[in-house]
Amino acid sequence: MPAVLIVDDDPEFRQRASRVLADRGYDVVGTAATVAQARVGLRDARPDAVLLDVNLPDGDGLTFAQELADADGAVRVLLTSSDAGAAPRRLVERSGAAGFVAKVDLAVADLTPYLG
Amino acid sequence: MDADGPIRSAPPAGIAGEGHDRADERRERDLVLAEEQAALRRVAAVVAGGGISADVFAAVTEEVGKALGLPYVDMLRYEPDGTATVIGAWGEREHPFSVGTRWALDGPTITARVRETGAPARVDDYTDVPGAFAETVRGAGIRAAAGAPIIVDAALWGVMVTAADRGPLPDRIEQRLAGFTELVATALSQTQAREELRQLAKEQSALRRVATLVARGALPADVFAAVAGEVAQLLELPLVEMSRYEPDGTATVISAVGEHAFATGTNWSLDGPSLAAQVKRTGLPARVDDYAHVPGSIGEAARATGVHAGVGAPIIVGGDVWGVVSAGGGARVPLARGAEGRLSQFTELVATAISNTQAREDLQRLADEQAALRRLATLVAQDAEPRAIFDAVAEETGRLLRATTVNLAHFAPDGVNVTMSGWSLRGVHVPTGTRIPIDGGSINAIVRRTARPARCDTYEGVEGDLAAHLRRLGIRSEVGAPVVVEGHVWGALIAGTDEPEPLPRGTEHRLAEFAELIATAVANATARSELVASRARIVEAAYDERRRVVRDLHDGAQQRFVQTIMTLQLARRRSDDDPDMAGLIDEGLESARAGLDELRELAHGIHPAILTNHGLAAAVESLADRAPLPVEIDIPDERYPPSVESAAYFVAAEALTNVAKYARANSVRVTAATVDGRLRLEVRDDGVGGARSSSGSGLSGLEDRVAALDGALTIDSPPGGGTRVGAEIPLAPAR
Repeated sequence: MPAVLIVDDDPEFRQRASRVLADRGYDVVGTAATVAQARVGLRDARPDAVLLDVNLPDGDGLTFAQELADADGAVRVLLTSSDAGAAPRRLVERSGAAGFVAKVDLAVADLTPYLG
Repeated sequence: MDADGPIRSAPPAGIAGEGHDRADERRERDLVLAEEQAALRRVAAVVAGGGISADVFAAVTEEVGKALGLPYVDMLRYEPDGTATVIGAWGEREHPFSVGTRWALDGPTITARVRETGAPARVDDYTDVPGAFAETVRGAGIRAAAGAPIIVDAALWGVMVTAADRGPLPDRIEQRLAGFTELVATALSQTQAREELRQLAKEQSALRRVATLVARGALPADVFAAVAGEVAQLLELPLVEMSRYEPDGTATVISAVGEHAFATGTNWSLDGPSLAAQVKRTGLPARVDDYAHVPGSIGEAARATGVHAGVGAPIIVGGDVWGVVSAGGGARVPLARGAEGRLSQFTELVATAISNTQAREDLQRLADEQAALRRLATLVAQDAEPRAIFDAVAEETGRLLRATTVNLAHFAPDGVNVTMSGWSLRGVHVPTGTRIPIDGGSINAIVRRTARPARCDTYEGVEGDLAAHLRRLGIRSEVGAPVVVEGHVWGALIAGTDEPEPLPRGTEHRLAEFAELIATAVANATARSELVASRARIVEAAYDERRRVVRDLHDGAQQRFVQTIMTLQLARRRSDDDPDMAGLIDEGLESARAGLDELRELAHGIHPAILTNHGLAAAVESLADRAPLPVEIDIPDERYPPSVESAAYFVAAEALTNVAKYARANSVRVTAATVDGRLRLEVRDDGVGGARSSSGSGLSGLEDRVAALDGALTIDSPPGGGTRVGAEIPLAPAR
């Protein structure tokens, strides 16, 4: 069971996403509301993957994904957003993230290519 | 005989005492009368034949002498100074009273008496008549004399005198003389009249010659030279000079004829009652009859140079005494009466020539000024760049006013003088961009304080950094005019010179016209930039509004839908074993998804969040994701001003929609680049072309949106040749 860190500034989403991912067999090892908190969470919880909203209060998801890809590339990043068009294909590819799945698809799409 | 006694006048003819020999007397009288009439006729003939001349006078006196049977006859002319000059003389014997001699009339001699009374007189015994003249008379052997006045045109002109060795003289000698003097008077009168007419004709010809020159537009110097020549001849005065009155109270000789101290270019102080001083003070012709006792520098110089008397007449231009023409001579003869009046007629012509020349110069200057103003006003009307207008005004003004340098200064709110543009003949203008505090007594400070044209005729001793700076550049004096925009002094247009003499009076007012043009240009530029800023603000406000709506949608309704869907999805997973429940939940999910999709389309149509958060490149990528054909994208990963990004995005979105709908293209390319401060976006496809921007296409609505940002939208779509949609939008609002 891959360990997943959920990063989103909406507490309701963090809760629901935790339930959805847990339901789908993932081990949610932590949540974070900002990029800064995400860095702490990555250090402490050492997840295998990160569910990352593209818009965070203190940063941009695509940029953070790039940062993580440049760092060690070991952590897989799945970008998400309420807005299905929030992350164009090419930009997702360029950022080094594993992919993008809209929040409304998290419960039904195949997440293994992204989170493991 | 009492010489001081009353003058005996002869009894009128015909009332001689009746004597016993009346018939004899009558006969004798008739004979004398006949002789006299013959003599009179002879004299009349002489006079009529030859006019008046020394010869005629000689002939007349001889005839009279013979007619009267007396040994001496003289004719004398009375002079203005109280003397008398002999003009005709005849005598059986030598006597000192020859033609040309001049006698002081001391003592009651005949000459003196006639002068006094204007009537015939006789002295029958000169023995005790006092005076040097009388002595000379006696010395010539004369003992008795009689005289009759020569009255020409009602004025006492002279006297005819007859004398004898012993008295008393025959009866009625005086009235017989009177008969002859009447003839002489008439002849003199006619001659004088002819002479006057001749003089008048000469004068009129001279005036006409000069007037012709003036009418042909001759320069004042040439007109004066002609006047000098004519005046010298007419008034018989060798010295003629023309002077101009200077503002400092002196007079400068600007043209002269004859050898004397008053040469062209010399400058004279008007101390003392010289001609120049009198004419300036009164504005009327004047004369100096004797420079012997005239104090002052001109008087001194006149005496030293041999000028003893002169007349002067004013040159009046535009109502002011502009200068004076003087004529003078060295002869000790008093100047003719009326000479100054005759000179006046000529100076009037000189004044006209000067007036005409000035008028021509004024007209030329006015024309030059109007042309310059027109050129500059055209620049302003064409909305040229303010900098270009400022530079153009500085240069045109500088050349027109013949200044050394012209600056346009702006008075910044913080009390600093900013030089906006400058021009100079020799590179001595304050450089554009210079910032110096406005202080001291510079023209900048004065104009700013008074909001009126002003001049500073010398910067020597003026305080302040600006004044010091100008002195270093060699600028000695300046004039300035305010540039007033919306009621406050925005700055000043300043012209300066490095010549010792300041720019002429009135330059500051000519400068004011150009300052007004600057004010218009500044006002236009300000208005335009305000207009653009205002439009941009409106666009920004609309844009902000849209972004806010989208954010609210996202934060609010969209989140709700997402949460609803996620919850329903969770519920769905737990209802695999309950088909009814599962079915209900599926319905719910379907609705919710549909709602979410609609909301997303709506938000995207208003303003896509990705544009706000990630910029144009990302947003166009998003469009590309949804396009039915491959979209090549070459857009810098840069952020632009939000309204620019928004307009460019929607142009791209609309263009891509059109490509998908109509172009039947194989590929499309979207590029963007920054060129000259403008964002240039282009959407180019290889489809069928033939697109038009007219109404019906969503692009026409975008034309306005782009135009509101001072940008332009173009469509190039030759049939069969693909379509190119281009938008150029300035990145910064025009300043």
